[in-house]
Amino acid sequence: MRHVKIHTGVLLAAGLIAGLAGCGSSNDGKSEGGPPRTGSPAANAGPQQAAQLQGGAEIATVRGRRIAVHKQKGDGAAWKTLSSPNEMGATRVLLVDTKDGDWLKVLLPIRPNGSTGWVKASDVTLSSTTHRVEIDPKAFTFTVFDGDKVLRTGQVATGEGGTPTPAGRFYFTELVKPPNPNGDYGAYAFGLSGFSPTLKTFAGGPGQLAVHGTNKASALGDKASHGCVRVANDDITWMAKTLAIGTPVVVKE
Amino acid sequence: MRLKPLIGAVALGVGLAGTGLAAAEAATEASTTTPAAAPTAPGQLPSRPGDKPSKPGEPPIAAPPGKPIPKAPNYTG
Repeated sequence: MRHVKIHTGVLLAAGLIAGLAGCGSSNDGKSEGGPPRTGSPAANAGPQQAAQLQGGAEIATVRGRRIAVHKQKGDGAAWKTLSSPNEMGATRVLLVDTKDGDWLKVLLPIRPNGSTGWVKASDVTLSSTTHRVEIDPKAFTFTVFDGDKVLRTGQVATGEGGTPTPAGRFYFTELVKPPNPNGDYGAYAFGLSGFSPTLKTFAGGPGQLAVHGTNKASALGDKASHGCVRVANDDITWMAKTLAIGTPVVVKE
Repeated sequence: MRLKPLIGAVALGVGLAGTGLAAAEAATEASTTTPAAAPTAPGQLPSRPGDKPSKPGEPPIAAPPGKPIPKAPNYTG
């Protein structure tokens, strides 16, 4: 009789463990706000630079109406929340810097320039581009690449002494068509993820930088702007038809 | 006589395991539900899957935005 009681206890315990194990498998190895499981293949692969994965850049498009940004991968509490659409009315995109399991380190369109944060991969849709734009402020030129191939070059005007165009890695955040194509912003304006280092506000805005057309083509090849990168109207029109939101833009020193 | 408690315990164990599996399936289905897409401004499609084929396992190629946002910019000019 004593043996029977012991066996019964063991079997009851086994049944409970089996039941709980079934419940515990519900997350299928995915973390719920915690860090990626170290035993998962993605975690074993380690962080990977997005550019190395693609030979280009990866663009994260926010899926919902906002996205939680974390200071560190796996942080339970959000550090910041970004809305989507963004302040200009475009679906929020973020440029991926590093992929690490279920998390993405992204370049943020906030001050200070170059800020990064971590978002959950499940909160975004990924796409990729092999395009990139390089601005050379010393030569007053832009170059658009597709991988290693040069697609287009042209002249630019950059920020004047008191309102310089800052160097750094940025990306296009939206494409705007000004109501007057013959105005200061020309035919189109691509918003950038960076901000003026000297102007905290401008024309009611937050001092956001942009690559845009111009109605003063004669000023190209010189320092003429408040920090934006001006290009010829035919160049910005070509860019608007060729380059995706999220395309990386590097402003050289 | 001694078998009755044994059979009862086994049945309980199987039942609990079944409950766990059912809960796991339900949770998996819930977690794979696609969240509602954000409202998109006219023409603001950062990517149009299918425009260009991408390699298997890689994200689709991002396409140009198409229709821009008609708005007076307030960039730093």
